[in-house]
Amino acid sequence: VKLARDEMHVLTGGYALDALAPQETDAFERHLQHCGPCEAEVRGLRETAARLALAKARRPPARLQQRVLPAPPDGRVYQVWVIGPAGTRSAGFLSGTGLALTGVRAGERVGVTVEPAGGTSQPTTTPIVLVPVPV
Amino acid sequence: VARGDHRAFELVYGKLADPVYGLVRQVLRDPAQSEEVAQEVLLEVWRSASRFDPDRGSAAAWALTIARRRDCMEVTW
Repeated sequence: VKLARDEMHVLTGGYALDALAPQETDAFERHLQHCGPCEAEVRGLRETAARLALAKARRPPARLQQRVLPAPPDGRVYQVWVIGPAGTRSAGFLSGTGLALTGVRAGERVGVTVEPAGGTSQPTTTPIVLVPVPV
Repeated sequence: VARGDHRAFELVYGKLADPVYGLVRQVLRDPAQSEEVAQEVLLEVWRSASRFDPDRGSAAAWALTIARRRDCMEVTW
């Protein structure tokens, strides 16, 4: 499909919502490089779409936050702690594949802190995740 | 988030998780699948955080554009 230059201007809405066919997307992106008004319109439409999407915002399950933790900074690890009435014990490190926790009892809490590589015997930073153990 | 700052991560997660999940859920309906796609979208947001250019629009608009792209892919499959 070959679109004339003036036909390009009507594709802003579809492009902003990522609803164009791949071929149209390519053509429109080439057009965007040198069309200021279209670029501004796409930006405006995306902001509007984002505002509309806020109306449909919905709280995801809490576990999602732990699953999307970014990689720890260089030289640091995510250390997992089990916090109970008897004190705080290390439960190992969090990796991309997750971690199996055993021997955790109801009433205890599980926390994650950022620690120097190799870990520490007790947490030295504020937990970035702190969740109660489900009964 | 681009620099590995956890307070920033929490702040951005707090702002983006609900709109992203809401949008994905509206398109895909299935809660489990929506959770998985929302996870991929947010990971993609962190991965490309250094490329985010505030002059070209808000972070929410940017994240939702990524979400919409993912949604279209899922629906096409």
